[in-house]
Amino acid sequence: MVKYLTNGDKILQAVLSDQRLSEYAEYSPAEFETISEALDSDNPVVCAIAKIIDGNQRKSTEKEIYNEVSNYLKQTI
Amino acid sequence: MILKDIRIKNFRSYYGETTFSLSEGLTLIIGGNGDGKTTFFEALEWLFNTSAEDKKESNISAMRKSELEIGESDEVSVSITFEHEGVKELEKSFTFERISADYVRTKDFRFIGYENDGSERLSVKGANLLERCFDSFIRKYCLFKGESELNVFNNETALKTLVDTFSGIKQFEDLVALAEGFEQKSLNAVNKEMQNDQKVSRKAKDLDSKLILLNREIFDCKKDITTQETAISDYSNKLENLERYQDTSELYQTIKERIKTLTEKQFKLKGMISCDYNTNLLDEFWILRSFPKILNEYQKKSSALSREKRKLEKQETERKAKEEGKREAIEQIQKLANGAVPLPWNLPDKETMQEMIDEEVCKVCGREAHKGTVEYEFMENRLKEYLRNVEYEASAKEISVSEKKILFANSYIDELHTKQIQMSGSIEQEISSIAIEINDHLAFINDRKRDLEKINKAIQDAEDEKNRLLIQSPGITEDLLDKNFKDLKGFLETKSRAEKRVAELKFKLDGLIKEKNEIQAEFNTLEPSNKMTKVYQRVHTALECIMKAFVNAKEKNISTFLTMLEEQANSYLKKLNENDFHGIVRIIKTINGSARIELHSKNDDLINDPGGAQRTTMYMSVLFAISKITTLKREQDYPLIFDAPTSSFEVSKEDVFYNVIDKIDKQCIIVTKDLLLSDEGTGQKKLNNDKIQQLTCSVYRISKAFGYNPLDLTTIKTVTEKIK
Repeated sequence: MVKYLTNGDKILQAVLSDQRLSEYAEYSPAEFETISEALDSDNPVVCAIAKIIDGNQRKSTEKEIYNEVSNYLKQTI
Repeated sequence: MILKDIRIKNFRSYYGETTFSLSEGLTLIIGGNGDGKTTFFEALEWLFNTSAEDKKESNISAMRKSELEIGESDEVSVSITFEHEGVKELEKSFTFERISADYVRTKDFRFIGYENDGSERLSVKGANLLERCFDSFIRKYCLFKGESELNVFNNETALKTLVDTFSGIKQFEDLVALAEGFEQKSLNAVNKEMQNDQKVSRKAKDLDSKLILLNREIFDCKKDITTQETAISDYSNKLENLERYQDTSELYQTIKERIKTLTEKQFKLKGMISCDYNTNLLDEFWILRSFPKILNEYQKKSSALSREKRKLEKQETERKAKEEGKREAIEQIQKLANGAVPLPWNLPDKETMQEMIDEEVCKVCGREAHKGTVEYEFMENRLKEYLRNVEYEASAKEISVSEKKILFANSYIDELHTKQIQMSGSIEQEISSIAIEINDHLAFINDRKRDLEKINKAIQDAEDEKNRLLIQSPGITEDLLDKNFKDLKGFLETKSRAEKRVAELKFKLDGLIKEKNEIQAEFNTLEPSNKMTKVYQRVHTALECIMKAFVNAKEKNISTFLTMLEEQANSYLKKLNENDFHGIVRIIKTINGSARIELHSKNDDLINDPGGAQRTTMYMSVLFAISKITTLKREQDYPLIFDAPTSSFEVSKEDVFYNVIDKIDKQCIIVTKDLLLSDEGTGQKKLNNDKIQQLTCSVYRISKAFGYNPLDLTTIKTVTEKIK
């Protein structure tokens, strides 16, 4: 079954396909197709990206998203 | 969305209901000036406009309106049937009612859509249905009036909207801005922590102050680049506009230059023919101009007088000689034969003599002298002699008086002759040379006057040509052409300066960024003693990488879209310019976030001034490409509707264009006056059936119904004929 990709999923894939980022964060872009998959990831960078996109989709404020992402990274990185 | 048919009712020149059935490929609607082409196009624009309840009276058919009696009403409507996940209809209409002789009220605006749900026909809001099947974004790439509207990148948001729509990825810009903001915030947080760290505080402060300075410089530099690139973009647009009017501009300038040259000549000629006749008359001896002629006449008259005088003198001498001879002869006759002394001629006197003749007796000798005798005859002769002598004496007396009168008592004629001699010779020669000089001068002036007449005519012709050019270029004023051309050099220089400045600034920016990166790298290598500071450092590094990935992904998304658009556009460009030079379409991203369509040759040289047809096919190729991408990406199609897109095409180019577009797998509706021929006899337009038969598309002929009054709008109605 073909998976329906949201706008956020497509952005996620486009960002994760960045070679330098994948080298830095040590992940394989093919592993993550959707935001929900990325949010569940143990890779802090992948998850942080998903949180940014997801937060934006949920219309959270910039401050809310930043706090969430930076706190998450402080704990995990 | 594929249009099946279009129905227009009482919309301006479309009186009653007119239906156009459309093919899925090309449909041509052919008509001459004023036949209803643009009205057809504007009827669709009216239908697709969801921004207002437009029921203005000017959209009502003047003919239909004029027929309405007070209290009667009718409606204006435009409707379409189309295929979009099933057959649907869309109808926009309003009612109009005559209230009084000079007032028509419009009311009951309706915009309704119809779609089928199973066997049920549902009516829905027209605007909703339209937005669902043919959204406002797509509609922007659907209707094009004339050639000037074909450039889809003529506004700053065009590229972003296209990328958002067709790449399937929206809001990239927002996320990039978000990621950039996060990176900066985390950097600030790291800096703050570092400066408070005991171990690296001093070094961190030093590096931070350098970074602050560099960031400020980088900000200023980027701002300058944006300003300069905006200027370049502005001047490029201005130059593009100028190129659009280039042919007209060049022709205008040629005519203007010709008028200038002619006016200069006119000025010079006026100077040459300018002459103060009053002053020259005496100061320059122009009064003597006719002297040779007058002298000649004088000489003739003087000679004639002289000759006449001599003739009269001779005649007088002869006459005198004759009189003298006559007197001598009489004296000779009066001598008697016997030598006796005769009686004086006056004895006896006339009365006595007559008395003797009457009485037939000589009273001198006393003898009878009857009639018929010698004596009688003697007496008669004696009387005759008496009378002759009386007469002679009288004439002799007269002659004697006249002899005393001198024939030419004054010497006027001699004086005239002397004057004639005086005026001949050197004086005559000198004055003649002056006269020749004056004549030459006047001949020169006359020649220049003739030249001036020719120049005046040439100036008038050039002015007429200039006016015709302006009439044929609606919307272009003389000032605009003049100003544009004057500005051209300035535009080019300013653009060139801005480009040079941008290159310098970019070089400077690269240096600043490099320096910043070095300082940042140095900053990153600092080993703070505080554990938490190290965490902040790692968070920043992660966010920096994330931010860069967002930026790269956005740029890649745009460039992927542009590459796809270019590929499709070039494929159409090749088709639209079959057997002709077509070049390569390049879509260049501009600093303001939009794009610019350029035509390049194979070696990637920019073609600065593509001709009218080249430019049109270039823009149309991009439109076809967008439409194709829509079909690919959104699995939906939509028609392209053009009003007179080929006005700059030559006839041969038109033929190729229609033959190609006829075969393109795309619904296209073109309203045009191409494919019409002018009848040599009547001057009326008729279809070029030979060319139309070569096409496979649907063709409609629209025209004004016969018998209209050119001054009366209420007599105009568009009639349609389906040709094929």
